[in-house]
Amino acid sequence: MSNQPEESSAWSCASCGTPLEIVKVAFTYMKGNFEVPLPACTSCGLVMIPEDLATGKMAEAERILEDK
Amino acid sequence: MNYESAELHAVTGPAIRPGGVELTARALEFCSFPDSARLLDVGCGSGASVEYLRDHHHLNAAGVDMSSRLLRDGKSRVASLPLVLGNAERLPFGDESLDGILCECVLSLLPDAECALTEFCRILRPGGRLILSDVYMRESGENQCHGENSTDGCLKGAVAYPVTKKMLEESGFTVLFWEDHTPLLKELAARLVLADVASAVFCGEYKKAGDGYQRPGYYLLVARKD
Repeated sequence: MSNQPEESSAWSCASCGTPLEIVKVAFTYMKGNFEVPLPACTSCGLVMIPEDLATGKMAEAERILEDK
Repeated sequence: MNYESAELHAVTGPAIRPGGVELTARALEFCSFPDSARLLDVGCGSGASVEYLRDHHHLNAAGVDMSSRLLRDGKSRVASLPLVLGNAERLPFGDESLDGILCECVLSLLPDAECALTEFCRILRPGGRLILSDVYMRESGENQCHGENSTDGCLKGAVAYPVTKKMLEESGFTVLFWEDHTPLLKELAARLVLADVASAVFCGEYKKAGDGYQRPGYYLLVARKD
């Protein structure tokens, strides 16, 4: 699984069936504000975080922020 | 780290450092510069701080940088910005001609930081202020040396705070104020990682044999020329 934009159309929202699109998702972690392009449902807002992103860049960023 | 890259600027904006101009504003609280005080930003990049100091604090600020490309970027943003090409070890200003110097996230990158501090001292008037913000080594054992284990240039020159303080004192400065802003460094490092601009090496760990770990931090300080 990848978070590449071209693969996002292969996914549909489990909640409402709308095809996912890549959008900039804003989130806050340990007082820091971040934006990451992610496949998301433009209808209900559900966001998919691909496994390689969660265990890759996001985990790396988390290690930095938590001083691990 | 290529400081001229568009990918980096997309994450940092024109102020290519942790904290941006908010940290510059924090330092100014401890300086009390009068209107039109003459300031120089050494390693100004595209002049984000120079623009901020002139527009928001009515200070007579100029900038010097060794990147003609970044200076050009600044001039294309605001044509009237007084930005000149030069290096920190030989600044094109007369003795005791300035009220303040900023050197933000630059000192640790210089090949000869002591030489630069001596040059800063030369061009500052007595009582003038030096504003420094930079990376440093937070956990220092006996080995308070440079982070030469890093493969990334932006942390190469990071030293423990006592080393910087000693350098400043030997160059003719007294530190008036120092505070830690490591969360800003970590936030920027995380944003760079998420944007695929840099690896965790940017804010990584420094293994020192028998000496545990050294981790990079970020500080802000204000010093006075004696």
